[in-house]
Amino acid sequence: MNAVAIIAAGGGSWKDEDAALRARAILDAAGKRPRRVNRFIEIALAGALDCCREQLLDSAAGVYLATRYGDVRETAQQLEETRRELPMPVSFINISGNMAGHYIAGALGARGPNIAISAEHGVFGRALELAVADLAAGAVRQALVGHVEEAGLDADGCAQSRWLLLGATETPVAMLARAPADNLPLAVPTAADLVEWLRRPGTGGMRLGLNGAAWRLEKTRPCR
Amino acid sequence: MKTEVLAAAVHCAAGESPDAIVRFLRDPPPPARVTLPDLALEIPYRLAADPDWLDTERLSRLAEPLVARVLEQAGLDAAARQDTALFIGSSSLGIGAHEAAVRAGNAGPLHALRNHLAESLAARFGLGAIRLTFNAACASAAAALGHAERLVGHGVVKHALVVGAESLNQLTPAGFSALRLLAANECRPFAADRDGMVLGEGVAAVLLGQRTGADWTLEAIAANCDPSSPTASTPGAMAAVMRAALGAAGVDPNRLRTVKVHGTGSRESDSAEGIALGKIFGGAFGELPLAGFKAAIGHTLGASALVELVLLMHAADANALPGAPALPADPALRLGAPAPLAGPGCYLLNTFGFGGNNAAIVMRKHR
Repeated sequence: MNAVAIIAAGGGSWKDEDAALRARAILDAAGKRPRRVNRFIEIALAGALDCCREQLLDSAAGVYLATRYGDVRETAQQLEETRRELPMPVSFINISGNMAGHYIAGALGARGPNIAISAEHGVFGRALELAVADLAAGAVRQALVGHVEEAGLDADGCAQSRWLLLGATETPVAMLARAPADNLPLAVPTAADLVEWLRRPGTGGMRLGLNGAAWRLEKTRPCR
Repeated sequence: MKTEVLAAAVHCAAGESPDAIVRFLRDPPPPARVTLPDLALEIPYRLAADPDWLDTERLSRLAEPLVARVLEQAGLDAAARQDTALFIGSSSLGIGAHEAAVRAGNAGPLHALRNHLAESLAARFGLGAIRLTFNAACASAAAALGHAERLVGHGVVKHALVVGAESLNQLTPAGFSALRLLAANECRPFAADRDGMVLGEGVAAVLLGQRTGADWTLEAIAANCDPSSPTASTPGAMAAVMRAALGAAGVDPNRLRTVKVHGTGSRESDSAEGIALGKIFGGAFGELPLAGFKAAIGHTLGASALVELVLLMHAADANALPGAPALPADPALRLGAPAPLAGPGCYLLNTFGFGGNNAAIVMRKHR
């Protein structure tokens, strides 16, 4: 595949102390706040819903959740509690690394591959690469790709849940297309770079690297 | 061109060498009894090494020799290793190491352990810049394998090293105990008297590439997500993923040599898988050769898809595949118990996990 449409972009970052409340406000407004889930799941789902604006996805859509640190706060708490007693069943289920993707799939009707990946460096770019490869292979018709951090461990102290929806559409926000190779260094994108750029007024282009190749992202209209 | 298995190795309760593994699978001893140290809870468990609850390097110590062996078997030099991506599948990640460090009084932050295995393996063996850890519960290693295959197939990297890794820790069995999913003594998949899972630890490493002439090729992998329940997939979703993998591989289900079942020994999951197999194989279902490994080596959770894939390769090469249903089989599932068929041909391998993550793999044995 030499071109991929970006259908939507959304989510955001929130100060660590505000993140849970902000996420719950988004989930409540959408009427899709799951019961008995943890903060990581709420933040992940809130960003995904903000991106998709509640539209149901293609039934074969894939979910690609990238995170450097994962559900570290709740896991640490359960490790501590398990030194005294068995964990609560629902709490144990919720720290399974793919549970946020499970709830996103349920809320948006995405029944394709559902993965959670972590990496020490450039994890969102890696998830985007896997999604583009899956789209190219025809393994998915849409791909919802996001970066979720709940614990504010990065330098800005913020939690984030930023998402892109990729796939075929007649009204793309932007087109991602293979570009001729040149000698300029290739920037692997972060979720913040891409989502915030797509939201900025105006149109324009951005050069980036995916799967070892040069790509050009052309914005046709600002994302809401 | 199909992606090939250039080298593979496994270390689990059955051992490390193919000969030892085959001997173990023919007559597995009962599981060990392990006591979770803080909870004084005794459970059956399939150990790959002596338990040491203060061991912070247990997972790395299991994984590093396997990775060294696989890279050596494949003959990758330093330049080829730099063009090799690393895909790890695990559900517990650094939990065991963190627990051990807490007990030893020298724990660092938990978040520093999440990508530790990937970074340490990549640094030690000079692997490339793509170093990903997949976390999809029991389907973690299948997800890692699937995406590794895709990047190799698209020429993004020349080789992909896939590692499934799960080691003894306290939180995981405590959680499954809280869910009442653990067997009292033994794992008896599809048996009428099955009462749950026995957990185990294991590491497997597989090197994928596109050199021609390998004994085994990866024909297709399919994955889907069933969001209907956090803990159990429906037979329909399980059947759909099997059908998708067989379709992608272009394989008639009735021409499969054997199906490697997920077969955990839990009442609900085995029932769902039995019904799903019935949907695919219809009237021939009772004659379907089924192989399974969890009765012998336990459920290695996030590593299980890869651990069982390498076990299947070793056991099929030795014509010693272990049958899946523990006998007497649950009559409600209408399973026959024909011996698994080894030899050249295609094999379907099932993996189902929490979060509704399902995967099916089609492997072809050429010789």
